[in-house]
Amino acid sequence: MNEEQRASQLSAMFDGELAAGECELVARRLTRDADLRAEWARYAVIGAALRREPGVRLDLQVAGRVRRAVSTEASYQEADDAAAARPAARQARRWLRPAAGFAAAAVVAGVAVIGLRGRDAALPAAAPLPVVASTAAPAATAAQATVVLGPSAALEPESYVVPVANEPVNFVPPAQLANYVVAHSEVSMPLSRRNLLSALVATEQDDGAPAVDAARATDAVSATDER
Amino acid sequence: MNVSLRQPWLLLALLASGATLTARASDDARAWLGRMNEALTTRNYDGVFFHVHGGRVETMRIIHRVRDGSVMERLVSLDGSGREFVRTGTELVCYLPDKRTVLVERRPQETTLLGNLPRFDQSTQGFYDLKHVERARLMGRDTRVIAVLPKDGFRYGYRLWIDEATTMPLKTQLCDARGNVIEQIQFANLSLPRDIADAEFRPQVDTEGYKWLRQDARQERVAAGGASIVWRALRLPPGFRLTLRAAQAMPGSEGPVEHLVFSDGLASVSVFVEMSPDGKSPMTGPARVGSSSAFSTTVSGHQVTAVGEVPPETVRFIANSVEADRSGRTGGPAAPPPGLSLGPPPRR
Repeated sequence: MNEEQRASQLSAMFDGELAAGECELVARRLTRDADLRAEWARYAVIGAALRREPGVRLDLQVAGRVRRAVSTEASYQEADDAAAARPAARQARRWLRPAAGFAAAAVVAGVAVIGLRGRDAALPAAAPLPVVASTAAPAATAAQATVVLGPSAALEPESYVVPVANEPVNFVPPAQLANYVVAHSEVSMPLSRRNLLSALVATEQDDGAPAVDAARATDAVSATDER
Repeated sequence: MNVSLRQPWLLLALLASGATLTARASDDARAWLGRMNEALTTRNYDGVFFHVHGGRVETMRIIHRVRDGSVMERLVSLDGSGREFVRTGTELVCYLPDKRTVLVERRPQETTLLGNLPRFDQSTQGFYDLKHVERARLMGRDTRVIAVLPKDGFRYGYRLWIDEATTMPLKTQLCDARGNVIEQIQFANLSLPRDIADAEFRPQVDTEGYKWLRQDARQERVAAGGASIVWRALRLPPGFRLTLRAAQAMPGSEGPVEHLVFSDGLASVSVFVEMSPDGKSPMTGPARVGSSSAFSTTVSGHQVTAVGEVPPETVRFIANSVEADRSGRTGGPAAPPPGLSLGPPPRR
C-alpha cells in the first residue's frame, strides 16, 4: 500500500467510514508504525482544530496514561518532523467533515499531544488549533498531558464532565476477581455486560497498581498455575 | 398569576399536561432503553469503539452474531493488552496474552440466565429519574439521547446516545450521582451486517504454550449438587432484591461457588461465596475492575465477594450483610439502617 492509500485509509477511519475489519488492521499497524502514528497525530490536531471540538481540552495535571495506551516506544519527534514535510492541506480537507466524535477526538487529541512533543508552538499554519493549542500551553510536556473528555455545550445541558482519573486506575485484577467479573457479566443487563468485559479486556499490567494489589495479583496467578 | 386565579381550570390543565408530558418522556425513555438492550442482544453487529476510563483510552472491536438462536461474540483489544474474549453459546473463552493464559468460563444454561436479566419496571423507576433529553446527531446519524439519573448514591446512572434507525447505542456514558462521567464507550464505526462469517470470531492469539484454565465436568456436577449452606443478605440497599441464586463451578475455584444476584432492575450486584482458600490469604477489602467495584470479606470460614457496576459503597454494604442462614429461611431483605445515608450530593 502506498503512502497516499495509507493516509486515506487513516482519515477514513477517523471519519467512521472504514469497515471494522480494516479498522482493526489499521489500529494494529498503528502500534507498530511510528510514521503512521505521527500521521494520525497530525490528522488529529488538524481535525480537532477544524471541527473546533468543544469537548476536547487537555488536562495537564493527569499523568500520561493515554500515552501508554497508544504505545510510544518510538521517537515522535523524528516522525513528526518527517510528517511536517508533507502537505497538510490535503489531509485537512477531509477533516472538514464531522468526524467520529468525542471519544475519537479524545484518542486523537491524546495522540496529538504526544505527536507534538517539544514542538507545541510549531503547528502547521493551516491549523489554528483554537481548542487544543489554547490549553496545551507550551509548558505542556507529553509526559504530563492526557485527555479529558468534556461535554459539548449544545448537547449536554447538565454537568457531565469527564471520565476522570481521580481514582486509582484499575489494577490487574487477581485471577479470581477476574473470574467473578466474567461470571457477573453474564447476569448483568447487556449494556453493563459489554462495559464489564471491555474493562477486563482493557486492564493492563503495568499501570501503577498499589504494591499490595500487584502482590495479590501475582499470588493469585501463581496459585492458579499450580492447578 | 392572573390567569390561574381567574381560571384555575387552566392552571390545572397546564399542570396535568405537564405531568403527562413528564410521564410520557419517562415511558418513552424506558421504551428506548428496552429497545437498546434488545438490539445489543439480538442483532448482528461489528464495530470499533473507544473505551475511556480513568484517563485512559483503548480501542476495541466487538463482533456480535445471533444465528439460529445461538450467540457468538468476540471482543478484542486493538491497541493494548491484545486480550480477546470469545463467547460461543454458553462458553466464554478469555485469551490473555499478557498472562499467557486462556480462561474458559462455562454457563450452565443460556436460557435460564437470560430470563433473569434485570428488567426496568415500575419499582425501578422509584430509584432513577429517566429523561428523554433530546435528539442529537452523532456519527452523522440521528440519535435519541436518554439520561438515566440515579436518585441516591447506591447506583450509577447512564447517558445514552441511541441510534434511531437501529436502536444500537452509539455512545454510552456511565455517571455517578453527581453526574461525573466514570466511563465512556463510543463507536468509531459500526455496521450491522445480515450475517457474519465464522472466521471473524477466530481469535488472533497464538496460544502455543499457554496455560488453559477451565472447570471440568466433575466440578460442574459438584456444583449442580448445590452447596449445603444457604447464604442470604440480611440487609440490602434500597431497591435491590434477590433475583437469582445458583451454585456453579468456576475455573480457579476448588469447590462450588454460591452465586447470588441482587438487582434494582437496572444495576446488579453478584455475591460469590466459596470456602476460604487453604494456605492462601483470601481477598479482603475493596477492589476495582474498570468501572465496577468489588468488596471481599470473610464470613464463617467463607470468602464473600460482592461485584457490580455500582459505587464502592454498594458492594461493601451488600458483602458486609451476607450471612449463613442456619434456620433455612431465605427471608426478604430489610431496609438499610437509619444511620446510613447515601443521598446524592448536591448537583453542580
